[in-house]
Amino acid sequence: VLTPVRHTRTDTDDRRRSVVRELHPGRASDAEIVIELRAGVRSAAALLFDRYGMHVERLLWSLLGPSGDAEDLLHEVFLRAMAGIGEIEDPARLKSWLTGIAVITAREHIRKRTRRSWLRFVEEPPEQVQPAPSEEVNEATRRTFEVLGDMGGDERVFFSLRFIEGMEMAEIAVACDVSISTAKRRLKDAEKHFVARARRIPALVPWIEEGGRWPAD
Amino acid sequence: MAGRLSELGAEVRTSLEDARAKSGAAERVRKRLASGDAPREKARPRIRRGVFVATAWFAAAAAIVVGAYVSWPARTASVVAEPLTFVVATERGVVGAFLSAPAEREIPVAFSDGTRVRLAPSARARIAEVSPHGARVLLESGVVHAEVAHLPGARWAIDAGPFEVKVTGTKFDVGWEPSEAAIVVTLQEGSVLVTGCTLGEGRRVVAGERLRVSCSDPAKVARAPEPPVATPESLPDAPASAVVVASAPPAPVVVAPPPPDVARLLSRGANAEALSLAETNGFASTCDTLGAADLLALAGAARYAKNFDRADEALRAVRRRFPGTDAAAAASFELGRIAFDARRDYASAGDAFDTYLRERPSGSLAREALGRALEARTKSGDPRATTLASRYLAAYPDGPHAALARRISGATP
Repeated sequence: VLTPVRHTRTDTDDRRRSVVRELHPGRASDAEIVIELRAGVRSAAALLFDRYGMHVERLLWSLLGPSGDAEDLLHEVFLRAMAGIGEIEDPARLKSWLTGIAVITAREHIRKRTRRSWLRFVEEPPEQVQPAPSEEVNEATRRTFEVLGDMGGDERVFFSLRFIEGMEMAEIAVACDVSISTAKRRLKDAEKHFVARARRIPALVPWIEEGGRWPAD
Repeated sequence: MAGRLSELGAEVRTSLEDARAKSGAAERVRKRLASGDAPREKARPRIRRGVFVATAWFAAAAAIVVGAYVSWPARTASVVAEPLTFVVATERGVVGAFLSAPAEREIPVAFSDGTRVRLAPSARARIAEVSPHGARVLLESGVVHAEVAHLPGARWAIDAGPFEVKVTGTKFDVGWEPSEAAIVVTLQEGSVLVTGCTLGEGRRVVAGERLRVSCSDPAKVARAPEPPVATPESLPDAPASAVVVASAPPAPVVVAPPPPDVARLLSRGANAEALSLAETNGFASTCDTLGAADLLALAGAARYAKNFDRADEALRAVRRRFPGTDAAAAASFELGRIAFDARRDYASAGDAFDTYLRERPSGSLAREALGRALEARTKSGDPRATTLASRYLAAYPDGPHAALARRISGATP
């Protein structure tokens, strides 16, 4: 159960606060933000979000595609981060720690959706959040996520991190908490399965067969 | 194969980035975090009819689910959405407070849903009401410029004398001259409905149009002047060549309206049909009349059809007609993509990405633009690639082009 950090203001809290507030937001180090979050200073949450919100949001979109769930998951990632801020061992590695939380959250979400679609008698409720702007993404993107949707959750994550998010193997290994050799093996499997499926989708064939971004006729 | 998948991934990333930037989710999440909101409860999955009989096991499981659902205590606390909040310049805004912009500068008003309203110099207004889905602005005199966030259920209105401008999501100016009881509405994007006084059921004004109407004079509708910013001084005089005056009771006549079908087809995602209709209507004249958002959509439709010349033409129309806007910067980015990906003209691509970065150095596409500029300069053998690489690493050390940047700058990972 996720519980957002609630900050009850006291004199002690007032005395504690706030290195971050007194600093220019751009100059507060990651370690200082972590200290503030551990002290329960709510304004540090906004600072954390300002610094890494876009990074996490991009990552979630790369992993999930144009999904209406991205907004709630973005919220969830930061709530998890604030709830678990005491566990971070090296505050200077805040970004990669957040990346790991985002990957875990997205994987859980993909697995949940897969389970729900297997249980055919349970119908997904319509999205209540912002409608996914699927009309704004192009055909190649829609088809790519169709293919990824048919792949296993783990394979999909490795593929998206490497080819859509453009992460290096070492970063992927850290984000997925596996060794580099394991990451390479899983990525190889994911690539093989993606290509096999994509070859059956006309909109993706030029990308797979010919290369090039918008191959000319 | 990995190279081809990387190219596909880059295309997907850029496409997602466009959609992500438009979603406005980050701002809402930031607000929820800052206020300590709990995670939003999602709708409960509901049971699909007619499949209980599949197996006894599933029937039993379904029965348990249904039983649990029925016996679950009803939620007593209804969720009541909070009204929007707003900031006037740097101060928290107060509903009903009188706002008066000084003669030499404007006053910005920022709402929590992302909507932005600016009071032009000397304008006077009040934020009369605020709801969870919008606000009512009472314009007492002068001009306000509004960029209303396009969100589901958005309800915004601007009252000016006896007139009301109803808005969902769009970008426009409203000017009100009490001495002449005249309102001027100038649309840059989307559409609004103006009602009141002599307008009867109301008059819809769409992108590229300017409506001027007073209770004593008939309505005048004209193509919006460029740049499309109304000032109090401009209220009485619409461009003579473009204005048609309708007789009272007013049945406003539109001069050179944008082909509405093209915009409607684009909004429905019927790209091929929109493109075809634009050709039938005359592509150049369509580019001269559509709003910025529709022009970008038309360029996208042309690009999907691999008609890069037409995409180019639509994008250049955005830059020519809407200089300095977000749309113009986005058009430059798209021009860069076409030059790079379709034409393999890396020098032009680099210039276009540089233009985006110059105009929107911290824009939503800045990371992609910098990365693509780096790629383009590298491919064209341009020595500026080294500077771009250092710049990229400083700004996005973990970004998707970081490996390329390190190779070029000689930096160690």
